[in-house]
Amino acid sequence: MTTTDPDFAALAARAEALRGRLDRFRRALGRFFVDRQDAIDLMVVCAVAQEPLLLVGAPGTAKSALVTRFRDALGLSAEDYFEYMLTRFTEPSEVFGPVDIERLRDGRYVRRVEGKLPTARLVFLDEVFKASSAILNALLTVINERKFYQDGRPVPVPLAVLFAATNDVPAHAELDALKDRFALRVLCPSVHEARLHALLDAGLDGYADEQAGRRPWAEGLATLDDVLDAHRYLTTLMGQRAIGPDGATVRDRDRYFPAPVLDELRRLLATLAREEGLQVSDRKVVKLYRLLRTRAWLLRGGTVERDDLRLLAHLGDGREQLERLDERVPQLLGLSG
Amino acid sequence: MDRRGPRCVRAAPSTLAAALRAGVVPSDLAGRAVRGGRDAEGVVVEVDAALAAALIDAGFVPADGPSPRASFPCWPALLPATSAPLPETLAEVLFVLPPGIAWGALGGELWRLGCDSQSIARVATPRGPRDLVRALQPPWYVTLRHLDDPSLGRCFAPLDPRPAPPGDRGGTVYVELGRRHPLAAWARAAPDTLTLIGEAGFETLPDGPWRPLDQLTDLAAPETLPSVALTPPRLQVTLHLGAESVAPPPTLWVLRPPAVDRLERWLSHVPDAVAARLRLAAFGPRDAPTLVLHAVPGAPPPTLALDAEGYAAVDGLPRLHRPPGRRVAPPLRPDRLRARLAPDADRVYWLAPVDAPGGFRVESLPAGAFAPLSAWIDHLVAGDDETLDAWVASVRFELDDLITEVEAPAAAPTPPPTAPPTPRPRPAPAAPKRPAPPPAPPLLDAPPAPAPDAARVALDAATDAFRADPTPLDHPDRVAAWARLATLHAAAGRPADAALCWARALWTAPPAERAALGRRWAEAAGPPPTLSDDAPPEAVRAVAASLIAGAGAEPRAAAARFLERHEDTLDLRTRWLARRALAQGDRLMLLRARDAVLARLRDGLPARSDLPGFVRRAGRGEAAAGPLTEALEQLEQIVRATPRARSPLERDDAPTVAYLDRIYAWAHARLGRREDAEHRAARAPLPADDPVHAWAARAFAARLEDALDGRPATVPLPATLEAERAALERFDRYKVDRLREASWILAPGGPEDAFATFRDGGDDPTRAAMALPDAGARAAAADAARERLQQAPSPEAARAVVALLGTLGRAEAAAGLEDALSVTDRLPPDARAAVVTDAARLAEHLERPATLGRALRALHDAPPAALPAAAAALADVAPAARRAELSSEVEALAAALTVRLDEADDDHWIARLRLAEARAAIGDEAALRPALEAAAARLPRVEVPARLRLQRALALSLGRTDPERAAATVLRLAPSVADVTDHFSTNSHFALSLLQFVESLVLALCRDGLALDPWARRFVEADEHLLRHRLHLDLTTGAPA
Repeated sequence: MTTTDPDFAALAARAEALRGRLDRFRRALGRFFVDRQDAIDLMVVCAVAQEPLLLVGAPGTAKSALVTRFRDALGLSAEDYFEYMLTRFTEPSEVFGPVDIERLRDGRYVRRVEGKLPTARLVFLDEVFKASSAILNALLTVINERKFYQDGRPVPVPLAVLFAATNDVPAHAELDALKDRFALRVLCPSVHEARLHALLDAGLDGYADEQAGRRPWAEGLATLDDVLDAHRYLTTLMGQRAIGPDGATVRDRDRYFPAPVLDELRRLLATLAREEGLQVSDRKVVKLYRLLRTRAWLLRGGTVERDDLRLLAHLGDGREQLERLDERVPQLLGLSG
Repeated sequence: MDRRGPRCVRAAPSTLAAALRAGVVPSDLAGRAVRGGRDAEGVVVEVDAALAAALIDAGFVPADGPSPRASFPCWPALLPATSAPLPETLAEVLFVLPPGIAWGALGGELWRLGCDSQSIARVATPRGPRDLVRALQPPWYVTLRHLDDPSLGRCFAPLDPRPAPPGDRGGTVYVELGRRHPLAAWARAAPDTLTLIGEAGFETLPDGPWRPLDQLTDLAAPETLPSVALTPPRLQVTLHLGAESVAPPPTLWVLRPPAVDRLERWLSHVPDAVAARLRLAAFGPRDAPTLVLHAVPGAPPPTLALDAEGYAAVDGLPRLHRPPGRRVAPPLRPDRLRARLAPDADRVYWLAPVDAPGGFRVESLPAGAFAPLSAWIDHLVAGDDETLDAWVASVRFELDDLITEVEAPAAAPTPPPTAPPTPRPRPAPAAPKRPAPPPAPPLLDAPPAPAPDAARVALDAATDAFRADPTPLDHPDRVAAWARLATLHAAAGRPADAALCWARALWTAPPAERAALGRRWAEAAGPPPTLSDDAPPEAVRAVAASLIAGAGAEPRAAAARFLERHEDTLDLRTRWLARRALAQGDRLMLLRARDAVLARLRDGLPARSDLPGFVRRAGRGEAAAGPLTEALEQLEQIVRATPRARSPLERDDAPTVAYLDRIYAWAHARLGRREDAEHRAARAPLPADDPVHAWAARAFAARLEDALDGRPATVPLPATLEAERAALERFDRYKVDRLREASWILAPGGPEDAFATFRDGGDDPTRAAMALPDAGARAAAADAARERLQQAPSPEAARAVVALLGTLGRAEAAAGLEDALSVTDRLPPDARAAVVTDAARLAEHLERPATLGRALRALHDAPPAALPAAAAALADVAPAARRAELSSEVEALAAALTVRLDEADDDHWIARLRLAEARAAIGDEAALRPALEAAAARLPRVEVPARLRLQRALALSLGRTDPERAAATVLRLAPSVADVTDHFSTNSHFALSLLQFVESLVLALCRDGLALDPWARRFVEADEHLLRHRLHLDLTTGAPA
């Protein structure tokens, strides 16, 4: 079905400008970190695709800094942002808001969500896998359905971008559902061995900026609305169908995902399944497609290429597997590291 | 259709497959080309009328229409290959590239992703040359690409991934990946061809020639630097002594002048046990020598409160010493250090500091200059010494000379008092009266001793003749041969072997010849030296020979004491003959001596001390040590490098490693490698402040010294160690006992047989009865024991009867033995084994084969729990049974017991080995190897501790094979150290399971019999029998030589 939505047409007209802003945004933000451009690129891709992203790294590897500066760079207000460091003892009220006692007296179980996760557009959960099962259950609903239940009735949440951080991905079976929500995981390795001088320079600069209240990374190059517009644009585009000259239906993959690259993707997934035991669900395959398309659009404005398949290096389950895939996927693709 | 010509028939593919499997189509026809085709309805094939009829009977239908045009290479090719899932792993993939596509791109891609195990062939086909690439474990990524696009090349995997047997030139069948064919298993490729079965049907290609990837690629470095010739200047580096964080205890002390006085003052309050651990050397002016003390290796060094310069051995270089807390700087590799500072293997070196900071001077002495410190000490007493003759059992009081007959005095007045009579001087014990020696028979006249070179030549001829002589070892002709060999050995400069030959000559010589032989021996050995504590072995032999010959200037008491201290260095025959000469009918002494000899025989005749060299070297001799030493070193490396499943109860490995080093040191010593043995003994000290470790260190040091000095492994531990053990606190003594119980090195021959052990000072009535001098009294004691046995049968009572019967005359003993065996039949079957062994040995001594056979039959109905003991008894008795011509009985009994062995019972596997040994003892050597292989294969499935028992039994049985087999079996078993874990309460001190495991493998490499050939093995068997027989006869008759 061809879309003749005038909104889409206006969006399409702005798409290249949008892409340019977001492209400048990601490159500019990368200057304030050492060896974190890949992670920032992925954060932007996942933000546009509105897929949660998991940052994996040891303590002190700039995971929180990445998110806070990302927020600052987008110019988000405090009302639109929520972050929390989860522990085993964190209660749902700390994340989702306390129960409204007054209404409870009326027999209504309603939380006061102001300033909490259900009201934020960008959310950062640190040590996400330490959450208790009560929080996890509610969180899954928020991530999957973008809904939050108040007094038994679903209420839409404005959540657009979810970032989470963890030291390592645990192997507990009860966390599998939450892990599966994070299609991509990005490693944040320590850099001081290889880039000591650069780290010291960037760290001291950042500390001085914080003490002085400066935020040089907030350059206003892009906003969260730009991210949401880009998401709308690409989602609509990917869902379009056209009729080709031969009368056959032309889908998004016919236009933007060449068959050889699609075959390559399939082979890669099969190889990773056999070599690494990495089983990708059907749902995740669709997500991968969207993420690959988003990356290709963000970096080059168009067709998916072999280079975009590097994204599959972020499918790993755990720090060790992520490190292996970081080397193996480019090797399989015949790309330099 | 013409019924006489070809006809077409049709069937579904499954029907065709069934017909082929059922052989409806003859197999030779099925392998030939056929015309046919496939369509939507199935398969059509053109056949002759007869076959068509058979196929129609099998479910085919006649096919109408034109004859098929296509030709298929064989009948199975008519069937299509169907889809199949890809395998889980790719072991080998054959990439068949289409014509026009070279292998380079594929090979490069495979190689880039890590697969360099490739071989390439270019084969000629009707469509042109094609490239084949055979890759081992190719990456999935590349394989999947080819599966997606077959135009790049098709992928096949071998139908049977196993390698072809050697010499099999048959071709290989490959099946396309993702495909399966119902009759692929029937396919047989012609030699040197590949048959490919896939979606395109059957195809045959030449199999090669194949060339590996590295032959087709040239690797070039991206850049090469030009080489520049340069002669570097010599660099002068001055070695110096630097600081070291650890300060090991000193093992060498230098006392500068005035040294003698200091050392004497120090020795005046030092226990002898400490002095015994030191050796002394001196150098410099005689009036002001510098003295050097060196700790005896293999034991923890003593701590000396002595004003002396102390030096500790450098790690890995036991002959080089430096001040503790100092090390040679800059650090050098041990081989460089040795070459520079301790080049001479026969010297002991130490680095004496000089005035310059870090400077040192290298001082050294020959290793041979060191002698035991105790040898230099004269212990003085303030008063005069009075040497007394102590009471010993061997001395008879000749009172005749002291008796004065006094006549009855006549009645007379009291005589006036006189001075008291002067005490008669106490006479020295009279020399035993001996008859005048008879004239030596001409046969035993001493021939003139040839010159050494001629002696060696003559010796070789004499030993060859001895080996070739088929007569039994106790044949009278052998006596002269032994005497001749003894003379030749002595002339050739081999006094130890000469003594062994003399002892054998005397052993079987008729009584009339013994005295002459004894005198010849004594003359050859030379006059006995002064009896001293440091007498070398040849001096001990000379004393023994003089006793045997009835000569000897020393008082017998002194000779007896001397013998008691040194007889462990004698071979068993000389020891017995000397004791018998001293005993002069004293049965108690003889029984003690017999027990000592039998204790040494528990593990068989000791080769190094008791076999003449020409017997030991009959076979591999020293050449046997090569594979055994290599295996020992590899075993050490495997144990060190293999991670072990340690139990959480085990403490850190350090003490266990030190015990292992001592086990290795003992093994190296047994194989004649002194330096390796000393190095291992010294490199990991045991904590001296722990009584268990301290006792173990001394026990292992004693065993090491025995092994280095060539003494047999069955020599008892020094009495001081037994006393120290008894004085240990209860739990410490338990741990020491567990170690002894588990260690063959410390307690050879296994746990002692409580009944057979003589207990000094005990009141065992059987022992007392055996010691009775009067034969009639012994017979009465035996009768009483038989009566007790009849009234209350028990294994102990039966063994007591057999032991007493062994002291009686032949006829009497034989009758009593039959009675005893009749009662043995009433004993529970699980309690008969030990009785049977004793009875069978006695029956052989009595030359009663029927009685021996009856004793064997008592083992027949041993219950399952008693099968191991029955098998062990049969193995012990089998040589005697063979000599008694009862081999068929042994074979039948072994077969009957083998059938009842339970493979699930771990101890029955030990029985299996013993039964194989029994068979080998009666001549069926081939029975042993399968039993050894089966036991070795069984071991990994047996749990500890049964596994350790089986492994020890296997190790001991390997001693009957050859060095290569023993080495190979040990190295095959060694990696299973990974499974050895220890839960014993002794793991506060050592991992006992690990020690047992390693020791059992080490034992397999150190068995005396490994180096012997079949002649030597039979010699040893017969020799041991003659030894035991003579002991029996001497105790039966009690007659002196």
